[in-house]
Amino acid sequence: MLKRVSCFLLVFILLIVGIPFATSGEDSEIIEPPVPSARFTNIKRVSADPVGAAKGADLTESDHIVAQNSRFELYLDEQALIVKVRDKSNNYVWSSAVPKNKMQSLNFEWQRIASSLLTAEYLNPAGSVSRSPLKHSNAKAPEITKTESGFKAKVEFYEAGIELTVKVELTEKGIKVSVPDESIVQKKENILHKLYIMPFFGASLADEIPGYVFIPDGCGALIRYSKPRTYISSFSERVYGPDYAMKRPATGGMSILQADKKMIHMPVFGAAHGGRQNAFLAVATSGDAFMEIEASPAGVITDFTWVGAKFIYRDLYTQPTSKSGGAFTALQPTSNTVNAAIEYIFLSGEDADYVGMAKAYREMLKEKGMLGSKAEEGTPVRLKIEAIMSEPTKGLITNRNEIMTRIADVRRWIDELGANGVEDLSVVLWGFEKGGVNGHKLNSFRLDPAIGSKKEMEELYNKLVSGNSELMLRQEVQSGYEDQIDKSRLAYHIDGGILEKFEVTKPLFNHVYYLNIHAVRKAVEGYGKKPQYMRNIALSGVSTNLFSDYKRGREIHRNEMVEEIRSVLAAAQENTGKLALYEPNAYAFGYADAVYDIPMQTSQFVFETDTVPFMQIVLSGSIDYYAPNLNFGTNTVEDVLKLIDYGAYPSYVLTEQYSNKLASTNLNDIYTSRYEDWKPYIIENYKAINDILSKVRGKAINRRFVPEDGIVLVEYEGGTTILINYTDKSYTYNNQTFGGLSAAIVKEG
Amino acid sequence: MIYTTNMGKGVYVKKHSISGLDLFENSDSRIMLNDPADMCVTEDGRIYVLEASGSISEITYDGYLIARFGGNSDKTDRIGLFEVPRGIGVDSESNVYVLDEQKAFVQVFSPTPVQSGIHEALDDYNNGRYEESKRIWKEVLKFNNTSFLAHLYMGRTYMQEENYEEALEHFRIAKVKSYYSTAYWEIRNAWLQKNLGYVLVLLLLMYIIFSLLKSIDREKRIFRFFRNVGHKVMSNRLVSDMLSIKYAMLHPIDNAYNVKHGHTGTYLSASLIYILFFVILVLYQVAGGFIFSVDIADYSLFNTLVTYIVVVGLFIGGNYFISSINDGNGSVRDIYVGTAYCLSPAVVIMPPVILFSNFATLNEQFLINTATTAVIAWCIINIVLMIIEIHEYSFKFTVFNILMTLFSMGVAVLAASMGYLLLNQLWVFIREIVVEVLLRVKAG
Repeated sequence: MLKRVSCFLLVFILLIVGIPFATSGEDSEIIEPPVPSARFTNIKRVSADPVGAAKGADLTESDHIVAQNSRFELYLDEQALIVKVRDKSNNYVWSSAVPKNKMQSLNFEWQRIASSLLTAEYLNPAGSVSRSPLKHSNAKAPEITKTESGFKAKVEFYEAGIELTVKVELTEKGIKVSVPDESIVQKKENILHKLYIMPFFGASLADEIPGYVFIPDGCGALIRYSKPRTYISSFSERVYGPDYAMKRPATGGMSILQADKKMIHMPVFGAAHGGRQNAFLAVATSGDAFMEIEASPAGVITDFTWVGAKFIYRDLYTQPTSKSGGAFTALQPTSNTVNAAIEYIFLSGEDADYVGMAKAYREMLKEKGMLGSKAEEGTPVRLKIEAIMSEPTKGLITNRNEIMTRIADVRRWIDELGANGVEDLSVVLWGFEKGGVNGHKLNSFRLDPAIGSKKEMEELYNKLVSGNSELMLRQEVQSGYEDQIDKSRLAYHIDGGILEKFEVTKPLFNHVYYLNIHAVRKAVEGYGKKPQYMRNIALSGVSTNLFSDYKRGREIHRNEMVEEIRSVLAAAQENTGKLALYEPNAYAFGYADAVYDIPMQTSQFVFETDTVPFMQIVLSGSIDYYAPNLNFGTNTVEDVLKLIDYGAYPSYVLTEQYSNKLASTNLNDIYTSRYEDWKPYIIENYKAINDILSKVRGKAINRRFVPEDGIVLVEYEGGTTILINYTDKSYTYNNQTFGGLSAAIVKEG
Repeated sequence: MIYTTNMGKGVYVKKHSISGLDLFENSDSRIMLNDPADMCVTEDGRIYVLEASGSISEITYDGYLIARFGGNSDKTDRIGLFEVPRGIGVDSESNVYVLDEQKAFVQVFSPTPVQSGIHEALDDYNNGRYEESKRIWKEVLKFNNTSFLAHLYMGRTYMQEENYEEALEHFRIAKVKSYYSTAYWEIRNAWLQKNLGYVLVLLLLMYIIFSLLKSIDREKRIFRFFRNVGHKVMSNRLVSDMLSIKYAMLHPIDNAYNVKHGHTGTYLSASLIYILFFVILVLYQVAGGFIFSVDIADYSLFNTLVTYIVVVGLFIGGNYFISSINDGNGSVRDIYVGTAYCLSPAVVIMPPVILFSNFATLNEQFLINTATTAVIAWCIINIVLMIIEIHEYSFKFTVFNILMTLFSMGVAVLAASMGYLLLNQLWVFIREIVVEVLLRVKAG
């Protein structure tokens, strides 16, 4: 008995002592509790600039110098095909590959990608997509030829069986990496799908260095280097938005509560290492129409934060065979003409941040003549008011036009606003044609007598012009609903059908059609015949949408479409007095006298840590840019502060009638617009903005600092500096105290 | 208070009283939910429900939707969206905390100034501070002029202030017929109290004048001219055919006899009656005043027309088909014209009903419903009598004939839809094969 009891006791004691030992192994698995981050919940995304130094890559014995100029040295490891660039000003070294000692956290495939100059995605005959990094033990050694300013390497993607030549050249500002199309040889049956160029150039492991990656999501976003976190996906978006001719837009539905993502308007990305120490900006100078930007924060697959470009050579599309959803996946019949080329511009010192990147891009656009200088200096800030004149609503037998505003009302507004100190106006009439905003024929450009006479319009024009203001007419000439479109001139999808979009949540019209570029050109050329008071045009659609057109026999590919659009915009410029463009892409900047609806926000990805006015800095000093309508913001002072911070001019959409009359029309997203309701806010906000921004009108933004979370200093050329305090606490700068939620000029230029 | 909701799709939030009854049961504004994951309630009784899709609905203490936000992240990492939402909480400042199981963090939603305004205005209203509540709702309407809730509560506060005209306008925009009806009752009541005397005097005066004129006319024949013109017009066949509507309504058998023997009715006059009936049908649906009409935005004239033509056409065709194999004596013309005259009660009685419904509230709804039902019954009886007369059937055989007609109508609809489906399937099938072959050839 005693034996039994003691046996039992022994087992019991062993168990008690053993359990902690057994489980202690599991405990040690949990390295540290997740660190809560204020940034995750801080949608304002104005955090203090990163500080501290970054240590660049190391030059090793296998790196040999291939070219140099006064600012940089280009190194090449011929065996591993690793490119390194040394910035002579502070000896910082950039590398295209991750060094071996930092690769522990990567799996084998990602180790290969992280040490390859290029990685191909290819389609095998069965139609599935695989990845093939250059680095492969069986691959042929690259054939390297030295050139005047760099080298050429003929390389092979072993798994894919694809060969091509990559050129790397040293330039005045950095390096240029290009892959000529004619060098691409597809030896096996595999087809080149996408090509990543130097994806890990400047990549950073976790938070080992301070700094960030820059992506042009909306106005611009930063992803700071930080410890890995669980994310679902990386940022992977097409430059200039999706191509509806390759991929039909999603139909959506009542249950979809997601806002559209913001577009990428510029073919650029970058990275900054250290606090204003070293940075690069990458600009696609060719192939941008087929470019995607991929930015992967630490935690998505790898523990590195990296950003890179990939180019689409040949894509898959869904070929429907019936209206009921039958379809198969088909391959684009020919390859795109890409000729991928990226210029890396290196920045150091004070310019080594996103502002420096924006300035470098601005300079580049100006050199190429793609950005003029049209901003007026030293005058009051201009306020944009967009008047909705009329819009169709459902009647018993036919649609009825709901008159929202008459020209006489607009005249009264101008008088009232003028009497309250708002004198510099850009008045945009929207839906002045017979049929209203979403009901008029796209090719009709005639005033509906129900909203006012031609004489009234001319008087309005003269009145505005004499008061240093302007009258603009809003025009959408590319897309329209079923009642608006000439169906013999539509653009076509690669699957043989027409380009179309279904808007199921709209109450009256649900079917959007797109005209081909020839019809767009014709409409635009028609402006030349109009009287002067109808020749200031605010054009939407054509400056934003970039679709191919697969009409049989006269296909226009996406890269060719860029040129077509440029020539259409040139024609528009010729045939109009003033030309404003809504949300233009980079190739359209040069044609705009003013930019409307400039993005002020990013797509709000969780891993985006800061929202920055990259696009604004690029355009500042060259073109006046207006924010999207302030009606639909959060209606707080922060909206106004952001305008001051970004140098954007205010916009409002207005109606004389109550907006609830629009509730069952296709403008049902305009839920607040009545002039009487908005008048006091317009006057007050305009005053706040004009007090500050009129001092820097026509000047370019030169610097932007965030010394503390929520505090921004914007310095313009000439030295005028504005302080914006987004916090609700007061802030002391240069012995001066500034109240919470305020903006002020702290230094006159 | 206890709040519950069920699992699964198409469920509702329930708010239970002490006796366990669901206070939202009879609410006209219940919010349908799919797979609710969690819910929470604020101190002032607002309810937040989180659905598995990630959408969050905020509901007032009496069940109206305030706002819907959040949503499914659809495999992206965008702020404010969820992959696997699990829990929801709210603090005293109406900040909403939502936990996502897969993303492993909490996201916080802070109310915008307008949203805070709505909360405050609801609280003020519930505590009887109507003046303050109205001020805030007015402000809310400036920033969201299409807000159902703001218009509803503006209407409610105006009702409290007995400003029924304003209340009516807001209820009209909010499209709440029950409240609209109450406000309208008050306005009508006030009008009647003020003007009923005048109206009665006016009616009396009109009666006296009418009787006077009549008696003068009897002696001096002062309306001879009009009477002569009247007789001349009456002698026109079409006019007399149209005017026999009144006769047909009360004497369906005699009228059917006249129709059969060609004394009354032509294709033209019958068609006019059909058109008239259609116009009345449409007016009944869209011109019966705000309370009794459907919203024009949701109404399709075309669908109504197609349905009407199909039903009438099938009835006439079906009836002719059935009666011709059952020794009926009526021709197509007889049935076409006879049926038209059977609709005469509707043509005569419904216009005043429609007119009346413009001045009626929900309290008088039973009158309108009764009148409508009676007219329908009348028309049906007339049709039965018409068939007896036209085809010279016995009553029993008539019932059989009508049932057979209805049956044949059903069969026709079924056959047509099946034929359509089969042909469509065949067409889709052939098209799919051809298209796929062509495309595959093209793709190589």
